Amino acid sequence: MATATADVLTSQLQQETRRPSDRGDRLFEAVIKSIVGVVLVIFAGIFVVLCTGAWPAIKRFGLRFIVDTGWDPVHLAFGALPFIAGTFIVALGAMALAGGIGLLTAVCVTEVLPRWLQGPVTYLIEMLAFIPSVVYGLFGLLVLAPFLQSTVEIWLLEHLGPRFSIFNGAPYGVGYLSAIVILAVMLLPLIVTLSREALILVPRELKEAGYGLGIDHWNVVWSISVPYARNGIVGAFVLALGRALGETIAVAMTIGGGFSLPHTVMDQGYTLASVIANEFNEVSSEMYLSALIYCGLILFVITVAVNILAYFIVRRLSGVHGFKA
Amino acid sequence: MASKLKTSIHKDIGGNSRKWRGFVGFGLTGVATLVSLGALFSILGYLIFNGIGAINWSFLIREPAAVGEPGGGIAPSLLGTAILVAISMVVGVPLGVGSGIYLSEMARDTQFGRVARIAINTFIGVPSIVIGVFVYFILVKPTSTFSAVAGGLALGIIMIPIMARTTEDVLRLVPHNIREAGLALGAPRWHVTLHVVLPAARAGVITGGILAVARVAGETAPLILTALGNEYYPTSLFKPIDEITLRILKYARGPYDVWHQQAYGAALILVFGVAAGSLLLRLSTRTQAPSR
Repeated sequence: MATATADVLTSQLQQETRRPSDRGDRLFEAVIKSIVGVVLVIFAGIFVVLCTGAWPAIKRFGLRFIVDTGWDPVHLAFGALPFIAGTFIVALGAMALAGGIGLLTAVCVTEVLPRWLQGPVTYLIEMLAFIPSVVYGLFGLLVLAPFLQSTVEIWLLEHLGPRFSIFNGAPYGVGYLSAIVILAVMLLPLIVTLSREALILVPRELKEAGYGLGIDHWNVVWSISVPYARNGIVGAFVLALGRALGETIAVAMTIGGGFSLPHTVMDQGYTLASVIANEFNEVSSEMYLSALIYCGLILFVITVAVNILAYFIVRRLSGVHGFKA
Repeated sequence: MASKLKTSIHKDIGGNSRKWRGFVGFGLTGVATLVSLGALFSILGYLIFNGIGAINWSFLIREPAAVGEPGGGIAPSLLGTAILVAISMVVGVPLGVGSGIYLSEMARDTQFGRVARIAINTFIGVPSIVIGVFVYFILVKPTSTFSAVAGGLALGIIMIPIMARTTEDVLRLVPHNIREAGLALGAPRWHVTLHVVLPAARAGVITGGILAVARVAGETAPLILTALGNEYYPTSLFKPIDEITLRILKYARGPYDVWHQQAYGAALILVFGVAAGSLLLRLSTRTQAPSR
């Protein structure tokens, strides 16, 4: 809106006097627009390159690739369902963990902690975002996975294993459970900071009106603040989901590697991103390479769709509550 | 863990006392916060505890030792990281800042403006491994060699949308009457943008730049497909090059305790570098409120 006024101003100026600076302006706009053009070409180029790279596999397997299981580099029979399922299982599992803990943490940081603690605690949680994913992978592989193996996985196997088959697996350590936990930690800072930003924007008057009606603090938080900040929180969750679906190296280091559908939370497997990272330098044939690129194409389409969704959610609410992701 | 706690406590309450519910509820938020902080401290704790022993002078200035032998260092990885980041900035900064200027100062509600805005916002979410695949096909495969240039290009492409978004954000914070004052003095639009608006937002743009560099310096996935990594000092931009996260990946996955310790050491250096950078930023931006 602010630029609109300036636009009117400049266009009026330009109409009244054609000045020598017009050429400078047009040149500047051409340069900037061509920069944007280059960026758009790169973006479109990624899609085109993925399509051409995956073309042999697309031609051979078609859309069956998405619903087929089986990954046989020797007989060149490929189906990506285990990786697609793995991608969603890991991402949604991590979202469930990080979403719950992250939202509660955001509430604690905005509503419970004394003011002098809010800043430092938020900053510490933001620091999780500065840890590179390979470091998460290192921690997951060398610390978390052995820890889960000797504690949580044994417990799950002994106590829940006999009754629920999804807990009845071999406790390897590395596997779905480790990948989900490590990914959840990576998503925490994103969810906490964005949910916090949304919760901070809840108008004071609204909460005070709640207290005035005799509602206690806890119910003010859950019946007034959280519903008011709902859009911002949803936006945070969708952005985090986009991150979770595409996370590569930390998952690749902790999920163990495997080409079949998982049956238990302790199984080893792959997500779309991690299968590319771990298998790319092992490819034995052009068709194998092409099948991996096909996985990349599916991943690209899924994440772009999720991010366009996030864009529209965030934009819709940026007008209303001034939330910015 | 949290849900188990919740159900057990629910049983205890029995009645539906509001006070208890609030108490338990806020208690849970406290537990969640402790879990979040606990994750941070346990990761940092393990890095420091296991990594500090690996860090000494020779670790910083030596080449990696022979497989499985003690000693040796990560100097080629540090040098390679600097080279890759430099190449990525050549690609990422002009394209990113240019796009940010467009989004903040020029994009109107035209077809092109809308497409550009959605595309750049979506670009941020493209997984870095996919960008690695892209660069593999346009640069590594045609030249049939992994190279520093390919790695830097991949990191640069990842940097573009991050730079664009932060540039847009900080340019929007520049008060509008500054632009109008410039235009009213008869300065052409481009002059106002480059010599008034951009300098006013300088601190914020630099902040965004350092954040973007920190982000790409920690990227590993696309480098597996482009820079590949090796054991030596970089000799050419058109040959494989090592990078610190590739080294951490290799050492973490190796079977030797020496490697694990060096992986922790390298990770400690990486995290410390990134954290120190972000702390500097926080301190430098605190004094300049408008750049946030």
